[in-house]
Amino acid sequence: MTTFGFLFQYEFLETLFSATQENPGTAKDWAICAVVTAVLAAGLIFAVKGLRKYLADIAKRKIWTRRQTWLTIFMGLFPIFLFLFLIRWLYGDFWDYINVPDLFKGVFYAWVIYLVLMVVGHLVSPWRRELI
Amino acid sequence: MKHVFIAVGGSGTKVAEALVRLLAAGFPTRRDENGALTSAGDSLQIWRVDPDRSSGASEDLYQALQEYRKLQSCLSDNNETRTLAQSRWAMDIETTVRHLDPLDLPKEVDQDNVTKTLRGVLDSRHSRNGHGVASSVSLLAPFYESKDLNVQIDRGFYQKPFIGSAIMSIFAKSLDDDATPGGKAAGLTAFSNTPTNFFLCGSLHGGTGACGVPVMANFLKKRKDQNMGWGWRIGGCLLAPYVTPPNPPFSALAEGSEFNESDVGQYVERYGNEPAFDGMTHEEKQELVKQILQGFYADPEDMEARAKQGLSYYRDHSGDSFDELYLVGKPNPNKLKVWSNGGKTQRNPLNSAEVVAATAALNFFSQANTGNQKSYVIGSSVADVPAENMRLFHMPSYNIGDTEIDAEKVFLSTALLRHLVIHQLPWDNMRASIKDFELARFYDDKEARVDTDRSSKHTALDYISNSVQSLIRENHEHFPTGWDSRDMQEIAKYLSSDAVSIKDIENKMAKKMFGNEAKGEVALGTSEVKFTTQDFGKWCPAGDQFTRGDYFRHVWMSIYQLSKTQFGS
Repeated sequence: MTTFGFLFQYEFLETLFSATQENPGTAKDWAICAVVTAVLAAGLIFAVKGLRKYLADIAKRKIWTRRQTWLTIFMGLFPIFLFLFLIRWLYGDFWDYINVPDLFKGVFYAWVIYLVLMVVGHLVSPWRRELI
Repeated sequence: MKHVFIAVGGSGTKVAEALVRLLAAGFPTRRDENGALTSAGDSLQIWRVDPDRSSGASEDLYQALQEYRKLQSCLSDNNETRTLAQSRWAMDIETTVRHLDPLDLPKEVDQDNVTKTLRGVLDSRHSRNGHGVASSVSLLAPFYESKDLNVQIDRGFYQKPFIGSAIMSIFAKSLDDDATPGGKAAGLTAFSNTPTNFFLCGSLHGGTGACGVPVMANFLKKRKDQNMGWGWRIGGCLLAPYVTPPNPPFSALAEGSEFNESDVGQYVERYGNEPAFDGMTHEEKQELVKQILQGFYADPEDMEARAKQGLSYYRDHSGDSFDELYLVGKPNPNKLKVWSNGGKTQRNPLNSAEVVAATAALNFFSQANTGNQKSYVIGSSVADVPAENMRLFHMPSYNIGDTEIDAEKVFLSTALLRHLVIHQLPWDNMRASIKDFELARFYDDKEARVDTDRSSKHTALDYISNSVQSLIRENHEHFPTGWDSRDMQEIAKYLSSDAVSIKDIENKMAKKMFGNEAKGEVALGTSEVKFTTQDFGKWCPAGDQFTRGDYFRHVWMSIYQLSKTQFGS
């Protein structure tokens, strides 16, 4: 946690979200929300991939090509955007303090974390050859 | 183990072709050091005893051997220049047929054996042990008619074994001497002290086969008896009538009738464009007209009687020459539509009887005995085998040790081997498949080999498919093969690359959602096999030094072991 603690430090968030100066608590929550969304999305995509592999009736269908793998990873970007957009809309504090540029910065922030998780996740799993 | 298949005459040559095709299709003759059923490790030479050097049957055999050579090269080191076709998939075969031409006899003088007639041969100085005699006519007159002595015999003995037997005896004697043309071709000295299975095959009712098989068998038997420690075995398969030719374009003249060159010319003019004369020069057409007019052709009405005479001869004189003797024929022979008197025009697809005869050779090569030395067994197929619509489940089985080799299961395993290797291996993504395909581990440090191996394996499987299809080709209007079309139609689906067929097989080999069982069985006739493509992914020889042939044999064996017939495994 210490390693990734910098993601929620004031100094770091200040450079990222304009809302930090006005309401640092909400900015931090927004950052946490983005990270959690990224982690959940990564978990979800990994689970979907694992399930599809498990349910493959023909052995060769268990093998994913590099193109198929990257395509699936990129497909995870859309629900992240949708989820963060909805959260901002539904939750009053976010609606009040997280402006549109901060929304997109949060989405981008989540995307980066998600992509890092997906790449690292593949690299440390038996599926690494489907990515590189 | 060394095997020599001696094809005598056209029928024997067709059986040799069937044998090569069966071996290409994966039929085993032994168990290897890992217990796998295979023919790899054995070696085969094919000798062809026939005066008809350029027959259609010999061209078909040549074609089969060329394909076998390419197949073996694809499954070993891609070296196509070798004459010995070898791989770990199937038996090593010397792809150059040793042509033992019974008319290629030793010469005392240059004029010896130049004229390819019975008289020409018997009048030669060599045939009379070096004694110069003006003519053999007076001596031969009580036994032969003039037309028998003078007919050209370089295209066979035209159903007249009494013409061929004299030639064959002289020829067989010449094999003892490695310096004679026949002796050089056979190279029997190389078989001294070497355990060898000799298998002779020819027709019972024809000309070359009927006289050549017993003469050659007697010759080999004598040598075997003189050298009991060499471990020679002599087997044979006699082909009773299984096809009957149609009548020739015109009938023979009545006994005693004469004809002249002008008559011959008229016949050539009238019938020279018939299919029987296709590809012949004017002189060859004239010669064929003479043969027909004199009755030197296979008369369908005489065949059965000739076969009976032949069997009597084996009973009284020649049966003892063999350790194993098989008889194949059809009570109701298939009817050929195109007449031919030998030569290149006589090209027929493989008949089911020829395939059965080749299976007899496999039975002999696999060391199976049908009886012991002091008894004999008259095995017989069941009465309801249809001569015109035979199915694969009618094929005789043979044993390797305790394992019964069932032809239908072999064909099913081979067809599925092709489907699996071509359509179920993730060739485009081998490096990502390590977890699900053992073969991918083999390629892990040999990535550069994937494309070469893929291409070689696909080519090899094309040759294997070709052999499978040649063996059980369905009946054609002009060329009856004796096979029911259903087996070919079923196999064609497994050999096919069309999307519907592939999908159909995949649906059967697909794993059920829960559990590891396949959704269905893949069937051929009365045989079926049930496994998933996940099971296939685990099939791979141990270690990392195996060849493409080893891999094929391992997968084939895995399928064969799982396959069952309705009569049991």
